[in-house]
Amino acid sequence: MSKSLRQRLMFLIVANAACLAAIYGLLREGSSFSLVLRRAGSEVAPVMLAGLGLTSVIVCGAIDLSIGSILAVSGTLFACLAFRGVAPLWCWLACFGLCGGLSLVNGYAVRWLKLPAIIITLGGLAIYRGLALILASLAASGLGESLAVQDEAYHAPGKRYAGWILFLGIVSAVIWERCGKRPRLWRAIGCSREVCRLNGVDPGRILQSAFFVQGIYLGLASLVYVTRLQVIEPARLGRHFELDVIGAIVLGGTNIFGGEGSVWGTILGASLLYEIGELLVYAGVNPYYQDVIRGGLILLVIGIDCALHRSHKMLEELA
Amino acid sequence: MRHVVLPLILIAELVLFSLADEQSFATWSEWSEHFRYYLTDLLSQSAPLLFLALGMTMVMTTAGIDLSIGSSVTLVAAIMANFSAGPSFWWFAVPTGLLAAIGLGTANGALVALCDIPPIIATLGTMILFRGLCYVVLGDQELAPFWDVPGYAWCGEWPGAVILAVVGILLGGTYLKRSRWYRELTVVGGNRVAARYAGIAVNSRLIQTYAMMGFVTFFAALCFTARNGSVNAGMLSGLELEVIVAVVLGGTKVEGGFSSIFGSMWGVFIIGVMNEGLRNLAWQSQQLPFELSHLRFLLIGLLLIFGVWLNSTPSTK
Amino acid sequence: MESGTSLNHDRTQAERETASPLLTLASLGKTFGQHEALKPLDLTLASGEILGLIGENGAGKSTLIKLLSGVLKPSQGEIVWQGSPVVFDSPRDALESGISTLHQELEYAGQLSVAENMFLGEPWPRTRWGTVDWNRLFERASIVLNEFGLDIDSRRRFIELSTAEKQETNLAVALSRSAKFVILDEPTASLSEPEVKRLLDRLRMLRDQGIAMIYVTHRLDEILSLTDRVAVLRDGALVGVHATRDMTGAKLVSEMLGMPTERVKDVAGSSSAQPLAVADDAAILELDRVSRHGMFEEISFRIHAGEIVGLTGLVGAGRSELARCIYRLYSHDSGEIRWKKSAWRPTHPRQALQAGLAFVPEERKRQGLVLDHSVERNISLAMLDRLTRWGIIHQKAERQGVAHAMATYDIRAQNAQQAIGTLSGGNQQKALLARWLETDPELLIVDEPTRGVDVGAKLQIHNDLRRFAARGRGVLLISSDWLEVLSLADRILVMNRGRIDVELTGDQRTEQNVILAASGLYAGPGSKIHSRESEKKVVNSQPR
Repeated sequence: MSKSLRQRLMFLIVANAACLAAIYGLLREGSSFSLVLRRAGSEVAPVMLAGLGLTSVIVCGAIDLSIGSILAVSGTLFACLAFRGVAPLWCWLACFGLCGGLSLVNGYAVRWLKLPAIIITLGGLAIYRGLALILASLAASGLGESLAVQDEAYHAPGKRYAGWILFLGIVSAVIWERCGKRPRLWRAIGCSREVCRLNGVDPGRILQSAFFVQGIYLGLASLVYVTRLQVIEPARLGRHFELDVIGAIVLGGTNIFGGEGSVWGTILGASLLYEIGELLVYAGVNPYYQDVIRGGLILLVIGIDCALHRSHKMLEELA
Repeated sequence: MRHVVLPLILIAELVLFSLADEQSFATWSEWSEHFRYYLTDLLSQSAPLLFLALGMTMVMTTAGIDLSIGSSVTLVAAIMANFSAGPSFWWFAVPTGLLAAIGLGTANGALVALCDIPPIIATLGTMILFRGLCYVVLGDQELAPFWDVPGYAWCGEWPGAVILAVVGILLGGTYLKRSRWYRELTVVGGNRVAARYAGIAVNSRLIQTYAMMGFVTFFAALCFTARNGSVNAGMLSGLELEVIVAVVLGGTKVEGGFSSIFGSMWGVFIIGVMNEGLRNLAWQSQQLPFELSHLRFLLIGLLLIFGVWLNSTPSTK
Repeated sequence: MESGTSLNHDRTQAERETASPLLTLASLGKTFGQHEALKPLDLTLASGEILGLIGENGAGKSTLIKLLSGVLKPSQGEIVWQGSPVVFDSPRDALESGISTLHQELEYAGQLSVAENMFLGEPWPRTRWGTVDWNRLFERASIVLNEFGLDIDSRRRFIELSTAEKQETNLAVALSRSAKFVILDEPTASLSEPEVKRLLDRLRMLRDQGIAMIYVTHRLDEILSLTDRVAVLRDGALVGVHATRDMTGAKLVSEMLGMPTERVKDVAGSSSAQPLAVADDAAILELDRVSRHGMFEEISFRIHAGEIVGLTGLVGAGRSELARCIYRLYSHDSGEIRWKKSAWRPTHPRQALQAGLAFVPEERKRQGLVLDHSVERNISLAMLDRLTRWGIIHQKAERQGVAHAMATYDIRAQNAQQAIGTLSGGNQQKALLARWLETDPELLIVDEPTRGVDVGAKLQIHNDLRRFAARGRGVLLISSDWLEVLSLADRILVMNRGRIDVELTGDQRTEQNVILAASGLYAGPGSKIHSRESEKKVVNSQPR
């Protein structure tokens, strides 16, 4: 782990603690802090889980911009099945499976078309959104823009088990990063694909596996995200979700061009972003200002970090 | 190869849409009347995209990207909309809008050049930031002072928008394309380290490029507001995708170092014809099981991937 | 030691003749589309033999190596390995059959640790829980490194190593994989002289253990001192395989270039240049105790019009850093730089260029050229000042200027619109040099102008530099190739650990003096410290 990444993690820990302290200080009479924390688990779960998955893709030197749209398609499928009265378990499985499947499709497209992942998935962002809309109007025509899922039975993963799913996701990701070889190979192809090829490791297959892992985490994220909602609007579901996730990852110190990163950074980054949002609510800040503050904050942290390493990077670049 | 493929796509689109079109024309003059209407509509619709594509081509030449343009255009429009309508609008609102636009572009440039943030991250951040500012300026209201400004609507329709766009293209495609400034951008995009070693002022070139992007953003905002007459804070999200698709289709490489301004113009027309055609079809046919406008997302995505694939095939190198 | 090696050598030679060949290439060839990169060739290699492989850039050496290491698949012919024909689907297959390759381009995953880089393609040790056993992994790496005499912590991130350390680590890995056959593609490109010597000794030892090698290099002295046989490639064809004992440098060069021996001037060249009698007031550039923290200290020297000043030293001594500082890519901390007797004011390379200083950087692919752009655009980049009117580049003048430059400097390309990345290394380097020479600067700094360049281009570049200096311009020649410095430079500055303590002029310009000075052992004219002890010190005192 490089020095700058370590510094970033330290910063995130301190900032997280400060935010929690501030929220604690702002709590009104009658609301308990532990309740806030418990709710936070389920609210932060989608971004954090998707972040754990996307981190594996980003350290490979690729990126997936289409995760918001994948969420929309799988959410729409879930709602359509629920609308047709399919048993909850099958709805969940379909939602999870579709996420994994589309993520794999992205992986295959990147591998076989040999185009930059950012472009393929930028295309995917549009394509999957269109698919979600078409799916909604085909499967549940006449319902217009939104699909309602009222039956409580369908909401179990998002409302009851979100915290546990998140816990499971975090523990598995952390352990694997610490003890597995595959996460190291992802970083290796993020640094240099050529070195892997020369050592007899197929970079395409490694990247593929990263997309596969992302699919699993994204499936969990979408399950939690989708089943929390009473009404699913295919046109708006998961919009800008990828920005939140990428924001969390970049804030966590993962190099956007690959090669370096840590799931700890993503976990801390996602929770910090969430806490800041909550803090603004508790502090009574005009909701219109929230996006400004969030965008400004991401830019500020990354800007300071990049500016600090600028002269060093410049020398390295010139040498 | 691209010289063949782009016109072919355009012709294929025109043929497809006119086949699907249920209108029929009895006489030649009726047809030409319709065609003239179609063409003017297409051109004035495409004018703002043309400006943005011009700027995006420059940005992508330097191996950058600007995801914030949708938000910037809206923000500039929102700032102008807060001025009162009337002749004084030209003296206060428009220069303020221009300055704001250049300022927003320069801010992007400073983040990229001075803070050394990767362009995609920097502009992703400003995309959220500027959109947030739109809500701060406008809230939930929709302001519509533009059509009350004398002469303003001219900028949004035939021939005003088209004249503006043509001037923009001619300047961009002829003067700029051959200028030393643009050549240096290409080198910066092709190999930034080599550009530094060759004595090119890389940082100021980058800032200038993004400032230029801001400059054309202003004209795009002008065209959009003159056409729509109103502005709301959620407007034009997803615009950056259309512009990027147009530029990439036109032959500009996402990795930087190679660009084609005229190619981007072709790209804009391909997107424009597609939008127009789908809109017309959606008007006429109700019997399809889904809305045609949804198909647009699919087509845009596929066009983007196709365009990049076209750029990467060795025969064009 | 010398005699012992040769005795050993003779014995293995005798054994070899009776043994069956380890590797046989039967009409092996490779075509890319229409282009025949490697014409069908036959070659055999026995265990315990070192085969030198030489040829100009683009002669097909890299293609042959890629075929043998499984990176490329042959278009025709076959590889017979230990008696049976093999097909390598990937580099992994070749590795598993016992063929280990050290590639020319230094590839590594910088953010990973040294140990991880070393064993990237191999299974890692596991604990009984199935998790990676990091301690054993690092230990295994340390053992390999120690065996090779390297003192590198295997937990360090690879990117933190110096260039020489990176190269040596890769070498250690390539040689540690109990391979029967090792391919070395320019292993000494970024090593300094003592490190080269150590490497060659190690290779001789491996040969005596029965390992076969193919050794590719541009440096003929290494070929002559190390190899048993030498194969020469020219234009994709094998033109000859000779016993090294029968060859001389001149013969090899004539065979590589395909011209008779008499016409080839000795590549190493003799120091023909006479010391110039220049007046002090002709100094173009003058450095007075210039320092930049962590890079170089108290540098003082002068460059006069019409002379070539050589700046040499070990890799990492701070030569390129000094050049970049003079060119104003960054500034110095203290001391004074004077340009024609007045203070050197530029704050940006552009101003340095306008003042008449040009700089040809070390790595042409990364620092010099835009590989995707045409030859024309790459060359005209520095001429833009005079081609531009009203901000517009005058295209016709550009075309003419470039055509003139291509003719003058003998840059061989199909046409000026060809992407420069598709040219051979020699032509790329000539184009880069042409770009800056065409601006007619008063002082030219060239950093490693002939690294990885074939002999023909090297001669050409040397001539260009001599002619340029003869026109009354100054040249600062930075090079690790001591023969190059000796043959070109009027004065030689030797840099050691960020300092220039030695200036060699006139008769002091000998190879031995340069070697001593580079290691900080030169004690002044007349002294002859060249005992065993000092030699040992040379080996140990490595650059960071």
